[in-house]
Amino acid sequence: MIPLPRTFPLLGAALLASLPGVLPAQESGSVAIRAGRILTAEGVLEDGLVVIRDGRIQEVGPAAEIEVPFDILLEEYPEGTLFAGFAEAHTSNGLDRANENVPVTPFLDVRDSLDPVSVFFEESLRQGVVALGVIPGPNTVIGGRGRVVRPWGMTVEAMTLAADMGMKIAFSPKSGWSRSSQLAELREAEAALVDALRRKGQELLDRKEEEALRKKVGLEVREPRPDGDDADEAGGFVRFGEDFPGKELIGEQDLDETQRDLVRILNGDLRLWCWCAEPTDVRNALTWLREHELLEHAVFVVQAPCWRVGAELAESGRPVVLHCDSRRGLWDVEVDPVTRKERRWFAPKQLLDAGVRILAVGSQPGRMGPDRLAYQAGVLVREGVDRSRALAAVTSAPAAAWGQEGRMGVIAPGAQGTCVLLDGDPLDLRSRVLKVWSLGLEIYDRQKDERLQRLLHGDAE
Amino acid sequence: MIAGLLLALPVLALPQGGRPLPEPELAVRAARIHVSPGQVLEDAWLLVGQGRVAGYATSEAELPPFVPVLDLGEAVLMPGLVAADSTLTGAGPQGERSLAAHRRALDEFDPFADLHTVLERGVTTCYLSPDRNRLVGGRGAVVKTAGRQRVLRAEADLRISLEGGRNAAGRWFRPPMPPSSENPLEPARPQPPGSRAGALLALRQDFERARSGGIPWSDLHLRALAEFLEGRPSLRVAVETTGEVQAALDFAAEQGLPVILDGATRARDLPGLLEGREASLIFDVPLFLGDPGDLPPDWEEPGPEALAGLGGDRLALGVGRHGRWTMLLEAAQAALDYGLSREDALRAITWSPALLLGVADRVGALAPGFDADFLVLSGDPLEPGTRVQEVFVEGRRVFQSEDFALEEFEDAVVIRAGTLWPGDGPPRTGGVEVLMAGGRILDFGRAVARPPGVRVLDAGPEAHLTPGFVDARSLFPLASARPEAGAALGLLAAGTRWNPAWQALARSGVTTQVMASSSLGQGTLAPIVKTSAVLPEQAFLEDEGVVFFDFTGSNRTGRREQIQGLLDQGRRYAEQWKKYREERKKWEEEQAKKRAEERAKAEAELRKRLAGGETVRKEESTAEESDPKQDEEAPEEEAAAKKDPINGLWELVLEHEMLPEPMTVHVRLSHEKERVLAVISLPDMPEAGTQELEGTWDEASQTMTFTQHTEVGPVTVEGVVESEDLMRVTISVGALGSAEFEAHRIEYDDSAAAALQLPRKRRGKKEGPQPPKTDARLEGVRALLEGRAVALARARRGDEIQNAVEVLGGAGIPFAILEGDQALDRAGLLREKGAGVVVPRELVQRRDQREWVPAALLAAEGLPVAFQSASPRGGRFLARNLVLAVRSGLGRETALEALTAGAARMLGIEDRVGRIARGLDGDLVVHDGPPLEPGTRILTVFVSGQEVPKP
Repeated sequence: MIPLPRTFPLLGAALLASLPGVLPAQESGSVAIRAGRILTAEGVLEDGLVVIRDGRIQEVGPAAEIEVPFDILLEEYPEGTLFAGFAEAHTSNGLDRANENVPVTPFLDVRDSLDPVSVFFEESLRQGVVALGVIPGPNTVIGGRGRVVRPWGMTVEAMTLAADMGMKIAFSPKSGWSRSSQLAELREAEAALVDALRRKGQELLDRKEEEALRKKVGLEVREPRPDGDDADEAGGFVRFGEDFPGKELIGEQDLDETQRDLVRILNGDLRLWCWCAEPTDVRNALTWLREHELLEHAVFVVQAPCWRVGAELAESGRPVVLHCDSRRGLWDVEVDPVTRKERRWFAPKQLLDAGVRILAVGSQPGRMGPDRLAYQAGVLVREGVDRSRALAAVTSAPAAAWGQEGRMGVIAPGAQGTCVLLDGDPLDLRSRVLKVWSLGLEIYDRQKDERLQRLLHGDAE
Repeated sequence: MIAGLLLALPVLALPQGGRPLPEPELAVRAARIHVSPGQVLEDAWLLVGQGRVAGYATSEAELPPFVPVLDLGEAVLMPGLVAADSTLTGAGPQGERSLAAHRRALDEFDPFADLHTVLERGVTTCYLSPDRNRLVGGRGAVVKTAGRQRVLRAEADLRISLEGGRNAAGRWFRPPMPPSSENPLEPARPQPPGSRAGALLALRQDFERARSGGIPWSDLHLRALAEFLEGRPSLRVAVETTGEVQAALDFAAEQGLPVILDGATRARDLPGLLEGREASLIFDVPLFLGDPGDLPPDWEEPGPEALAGLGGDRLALGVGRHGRWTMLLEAAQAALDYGLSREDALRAITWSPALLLGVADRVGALAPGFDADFLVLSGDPLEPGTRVQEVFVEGRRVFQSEDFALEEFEDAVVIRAGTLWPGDGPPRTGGVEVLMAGGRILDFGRAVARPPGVRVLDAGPEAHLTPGFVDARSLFPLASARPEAGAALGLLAAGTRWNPAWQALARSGVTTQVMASSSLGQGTLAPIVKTSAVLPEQAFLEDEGVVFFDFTGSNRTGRREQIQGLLDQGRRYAEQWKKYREERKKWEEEQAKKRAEERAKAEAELRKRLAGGETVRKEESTAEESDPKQDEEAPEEEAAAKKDPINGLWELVLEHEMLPEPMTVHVRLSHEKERVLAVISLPDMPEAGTQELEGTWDEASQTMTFTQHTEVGPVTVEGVVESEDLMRVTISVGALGSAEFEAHRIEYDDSAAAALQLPRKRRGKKEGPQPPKTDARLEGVRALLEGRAVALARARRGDEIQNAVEVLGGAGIPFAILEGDQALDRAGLLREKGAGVVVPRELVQRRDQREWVPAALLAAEGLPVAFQSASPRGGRFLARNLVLAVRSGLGRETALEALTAGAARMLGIEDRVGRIARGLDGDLVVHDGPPLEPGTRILTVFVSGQEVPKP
């Protein structure tokens, strides 16, 4: 027989984890790190100290001015550079499949598809990436929910940094589709939803009347019985669009999963990651978002050619994520069909010059060099982007796009206790990642990176 | 005054959108302006303001004050073309639903797409089609292909396709998410149409339901259909065959809707079908870009009356799916053969489609108030050779064909004229064109290809084209100068395009000349040069030349023996060269083999060492240490003890007005007694590699000197060491002058002297068989014997001609007689040897008080004839002299052939010049009338495809 005291906490944890929407308290730690250079939000701190308590940064400042609390272990790296760590704003890597075949799948969540032992995460950690926005891929209409994870942990819960990253909506056509098909599908989904809601509203209204009648004549009133799911029963779930009879009566439990999440999208409850590969898609997205008054919830995931609508993106005031895939990188290349002359534009610079405030830049998988965020930020500097903005594009801007401004991607009091120790500047490609802490926990140590050590020094035997 | 003119234009009857006319900001003048169908203004100004047409002016007096004028010369203006159909959208992946009235073509429009392929054909407005291969594809749209306000109508007509076999969609399947007992998974549903009857049934049902109301919210298709029926509906039905046309007309009549038929390529008796119907037609003119694989075997070209009586506002033209939808001008041309008038054909690609698409308040004509969308054409819109040169949308230029020239056709030019003299045959009359690019004639004929961006030069129907003239002996520019033997005289003709004297010569029509001197040195080689060139390689005909012999004089036998002797010596000389070349070739082959063997051996050894685990670098350094030569030199270096004055790396910054920016040069110097080796590299351009120079070092004066022979003459670099690590460097370039710089030593390198070991071996002694000593006197004969030249033998009297024929003809050398006063007497002999005559420059001679033209008689005897100017001014008056000779009895064709192809043949250069033929040099003379007539002037001359500038 198993003694009770040992099983009890396990049971408690399991119960806690089973509650939806409630994240178990993340595994976190406390540590104080003293480094030769610390890149903080304000600038470079020579011989600085960061105190992390229970996963949060408590204090940052010159080492001479801060006293390390007695209960926190101090680690000292006088030669090292500490910075907030790279953040990959938008990726579908680490999922066992990027998209489903069905075009409208708002009920999908990467929670169910993330593979914690994927080599991709291990490799990301090795490169100093501390947070990744993992979200369904672009081959969809409404793709599902993403979440921000750290490349460490054996369960999705342990990895998760923020579960509310948002929903993927693609305005660029799904493969094999035309743009008109794409937009028609979006409209059809909305129309079907509105139709269903109207019928449901009428149904609920009729039922209410019937119950009032039954009560009046003293007949038995059917009490709602628990249906086993955890959806909210209270009405007023639908808050968007025109009023119709019974609208206020509709509760979460009256709808199926697809409808529920479509309502959440249209209510403005979710951040919308709008996939736009071409400038024309940005225009379509802006039109659709403005029509539905959802612009303030949008994050634009664009590709290099979209610099052409830089002014419109800037005017929207929303974060822009420049997504690179194996084909399209940071440059927009146009080849004249007649003369074969090539014209190139450096999209990040164009977007920033157009006035885009928050610009996150992603890595380009499959290309040696551009597959690292450090390289991408370095290229930004080379092409004339201000150094601080280049670094922000791979640290704080992704955090801002996730709605985690000030909490992730910076070393500042109150932010998550996440930082990366390098032996050089983060934008220097020769710099090596020595250690990584996430929420105050040491999650990477180059010396203990078994695969890397084996690669560098061969088998110990 | 403008208003008065405008009132006179019936165009005002067109709708103007009720907007006041803008103030003119620009006046565009053209030879002809097609205002609207049937309204053409000659030599008028189109007034443009705020992107719209502000009116017209027909004389300069009517122009509003202070308005800038854009003069387009002979160009023709017409309204931008309106494409009633396009495949910009709707032709890609099709939607999954067969009935989808709610789909919008505009969703698919990419305003950022590169539309220059559309603009280059003059299409400024086009219809956007929804899915083309669906029964109900959705709502079309109308957009402009350039400009600021691109969308003219976001929702235009509803497109239906009745084209059998092309409008079917597969089964439709969309699983419910999540499936449940109330919302079960159902099998994929088939969609209409199965047949035309099925299609019509589905349409009737849906139209009925859309009209009846009570449509569920989720049925976007029916809701869109209902919305469409409430608006100003215009139904577009894609049809192909007669049956489909009939079905579409019946369906529209039954629904009480006006209909636009689209396609109808295989319908018979269209005028009959459409009679009395409220229907318009977009007729797809069948144009074929490739093999139309999917046409049924019974397809027939539409008959000559296919469109008769269909003109007017009801007919627009499109291009069938085997062509490109942008080829509207071509479609209009083709439609002329189907019974359309020119006016109706133009109307059907501008005004009628604008009306059909419901945008005739802004585009389709150039009426006042309309958008200033117009095309600049090189000629009449319906002429086959006409090209769209420029496109304006809303008064701004959005396309210019010159911007899109292909690199290989960058200098392409098409010359049009009435008559072409090919040089060796009868003239072609009735309009000809010649296309030249890259210095060559690419094509000629009635109508040649027009590569994009080509410059078209129309000389008019009166003009004549001839090949450039060939002057068989010109004294320009040498005159009586006695050039040094062996000098590269051909180079004298480089850069002549910018020289006024040469320009005058070239503009007289002479494009090729033998550059001779007045003294005929026996056996001297004269180059054949072009009279207008920029680069040396364009200046003269490589491996072509003329060798002169003089058989005249009192001692004829002596002359003959002298020439015979020269030929014999020359033959031996040529044989020496032949032998040398053979030996050299053999030696080089052997060397190459030897080097390859050595290399293979070295590689094998290296591989062995690598396999042995030794690092190569270590091995090398030990090898160096044990090098005995190094040991020998070591004490000497030690003796020097103090810093060597020049060894090391020197940096030199060249700043000069000739250089676009300062250039940094690194020179690694190392010396061994008097010998200095410099390894030059450019740190800013590492890809340029390094260059090695060897020079001398004078210890006493602390001066080093390098001399290098280059194309521009000797380049001397002199460096004087002023102090330790500072050197004053003077670079003098031939006669061009010199410049002084300072060089600093940035690295002291004592071991640099070791680098001298490397180049030591190659210098000094030449290896292998060496060429024989050049004998300038015999070079001409050698060229003759090697087939690189022809001989011109001056011989006047019969016996002199006899000598020339025997000596030169006997040696098997191609030759011609120069002057040959009595050549007529020896005509038989010359004919037998195939030798021609370069007649004396006095073309018209007097004998027995009568004028006669020797050239005419020689030609009549069947002898090739060529002309020479033999003048220090060159052939400037050659053609003028010929005018008189022609009047005195020389046939014009004979004269022209002798001046061009005949002379080229005689000089052995007929594969380069002398004719207008494909692949030959682009040497062309444009005359304003028949050539070699007194009143005819030369309009312009092209040499190597380039127009000769006016002096």
